[in-house]
Amino acid sequence: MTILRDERLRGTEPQVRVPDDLLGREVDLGETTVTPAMVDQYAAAVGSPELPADFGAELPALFCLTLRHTFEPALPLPPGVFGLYGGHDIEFLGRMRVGETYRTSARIAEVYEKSGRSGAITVVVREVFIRDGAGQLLAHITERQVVRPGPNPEALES
Amino acid sequence: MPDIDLGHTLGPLHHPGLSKERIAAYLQAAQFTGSFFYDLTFARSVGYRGIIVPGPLLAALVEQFLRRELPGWEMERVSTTLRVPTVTGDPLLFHGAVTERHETPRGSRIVCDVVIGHRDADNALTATATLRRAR
Repeated sequence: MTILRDERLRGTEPQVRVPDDLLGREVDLGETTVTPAMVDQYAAAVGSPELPADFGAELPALFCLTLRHTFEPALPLPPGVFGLYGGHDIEFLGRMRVGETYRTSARIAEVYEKSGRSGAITVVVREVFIRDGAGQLLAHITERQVVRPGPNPEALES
Repeated sequence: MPDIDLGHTLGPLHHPGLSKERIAAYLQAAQFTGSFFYDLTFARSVGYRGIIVPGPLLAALVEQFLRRELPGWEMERVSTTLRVPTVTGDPLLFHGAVTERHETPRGSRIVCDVVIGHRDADNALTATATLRRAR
């Protein structure tokens, strides 16, 4: 697959290669049931002990990101580079509730490379869909993974 | 409930920073992986000052901030950009402003810009959120 590249990177090798069969293909990432224990952990993390963890209680909108366990569908990254969370655009179409089961799917929508302050960075854009048990879309997430060489790339090769 | 006008300021809110215990709680809630978020030796070996705060956790704090500042308003959409990595214990400063207000037959809608800053003035995160309040 051809990656959109910044003109300044002409003549260099792309950091990331995207298998042709992966781009644009929606992948089922399975189901997650929201348990009171998950909500208690979330409440402790955000410093909001009053968050109700009873079955049926409505969850904060950003709770949906806990269903993103990692960057999936995964792209193989070469030694010496790593990916960090770069941000997201999220549209909330419904609220999640404690005790309910949700299905997550995602696809790699776009990959582009640009030159940053510390050299080339690759941005992997994924679209994530979170649906309830009836198949209704509750959250549409467009997330950006920023892939870049490590400050100390040798450490990442081990 | 007080009305919210264009230009209404949000915060400032000083936050002492996130402990490794709070990060661990988020990792458990999200079944999240990544050595940057719990392994200090690894994080330092690749050049970071300490354990990195997961971006989604910082984003969740933006929602907490907005719930505190704008009770009764519900998040409809949000765009977030992580700028500079935050490590455990970095004090954070939350602030923002209402930049748009719209009236619709179904209720009011506002747009807010929110920034989480570090003490050294670098921004950890910038976000734009749209919130609604039903009639």
